[in-house]
Amino acid sequence: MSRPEWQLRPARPQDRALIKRFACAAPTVPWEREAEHFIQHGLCDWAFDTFARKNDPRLLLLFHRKSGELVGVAAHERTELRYGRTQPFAATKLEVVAIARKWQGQRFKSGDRVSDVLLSAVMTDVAARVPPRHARVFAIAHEKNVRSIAALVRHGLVEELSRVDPSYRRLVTPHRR
Amino acid sequence: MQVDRWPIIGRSQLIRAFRPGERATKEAPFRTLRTHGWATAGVSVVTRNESSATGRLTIFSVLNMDAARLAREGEHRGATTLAKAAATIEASAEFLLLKQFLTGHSIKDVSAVLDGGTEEAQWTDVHELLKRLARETNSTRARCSPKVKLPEVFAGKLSRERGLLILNADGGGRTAVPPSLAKAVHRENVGDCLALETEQLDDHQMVVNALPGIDTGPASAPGFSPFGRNARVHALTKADAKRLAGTPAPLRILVPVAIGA
Repeated sequence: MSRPEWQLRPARPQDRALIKRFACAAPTVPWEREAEHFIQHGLCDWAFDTFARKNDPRLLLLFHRKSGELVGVAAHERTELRYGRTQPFAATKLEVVAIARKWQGQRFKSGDRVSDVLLSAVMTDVAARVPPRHARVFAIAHEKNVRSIAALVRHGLVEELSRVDPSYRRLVTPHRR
Repeated sequence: MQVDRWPIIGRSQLIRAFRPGERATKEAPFRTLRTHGWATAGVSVVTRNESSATGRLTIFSVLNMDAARLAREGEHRGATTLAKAAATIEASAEFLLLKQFLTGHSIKDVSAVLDGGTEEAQWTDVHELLKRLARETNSTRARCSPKVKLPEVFAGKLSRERGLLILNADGGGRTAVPPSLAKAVHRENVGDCLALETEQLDDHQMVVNALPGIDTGPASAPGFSPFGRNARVHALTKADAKRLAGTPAPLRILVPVAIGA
């Protein structure tokens, strides 16, 4: 069986310089610039923070195998959602999912969307963590970021929680009553 | 950002301000404060269980704490000034409305409002009143401060860095907060509002008092970011909690992938 066109692995501290150069934002789109800024200047500290190990933070890198290009980054960690002083709900926060500008809207030769490969990697990683993560994944997306919202919905974040900011939607995986 | 002290306190906090370290249920310290005009009588709220009255809780303006501290330090004139200012706040329309809102609730609910243990989403009207009271209290305190020496209040929002709980003050200062102090006033989470008051007893001793804080700034949240561990994205409403109480469905994986080491 031939190897896929892409390659996925967790980030290492040596990847800092590579991630600092990662560009995913259109200059005129503020929420894309915000994500890019976080990726370039805050994501590695977030991922390698020794005081945050109990959260099991994961930073995944998607490469184009042949060229070695960094195609996408995705990060998630264990967290809790809280209602008042009641028992909190264990959850995974999708911290960021971003695709390099050149690869946005593209598909690999297999026909798979780049965004689908990256989000599938996140879900696969969440499902495989030890100790197991609760299958409750949420993400925050700007309400005008329709492409990201569509991708999140495709990957199962089909329910919506209350907004924590007027401009951002909070999507979560579904629950059976 | 504008964070102020929670504008109301109970009797035990008042007594602790007057006699730090003493049992807060003692009667004599409160009688001393009242006799000398260094504290108000407070506003009494009738609490109820399902069918009948169960008792009363007295709520005080937080300015009474400042008065009690001044009284302890021998600044009796200043204590009387602050107590009179507290009485004005307690006679205000907002305070009386607050009493009306709380009357008839359980002692547990009223105590939760008193000690800052309620979520804004659950008690929106009460929080709006408390914000107005907090602003008014802060203005009154500022007007009194040229005449009396008041302890410094360090108020802001909490963040977490390198395992420490950090209070980021409105004016830009930062300080680490012992988790037990934050927990005692129901302010343990990133983004929670907290106020710390410090009193230098002598060259070697300081008292640090924690109070819940309340955000009295504009309703919009300038500078919200969904990124980082300090992002305020974890709070749920009752409806959210009901939704999440079901069994999570299995995760959807569209493309089989392998993740290297």
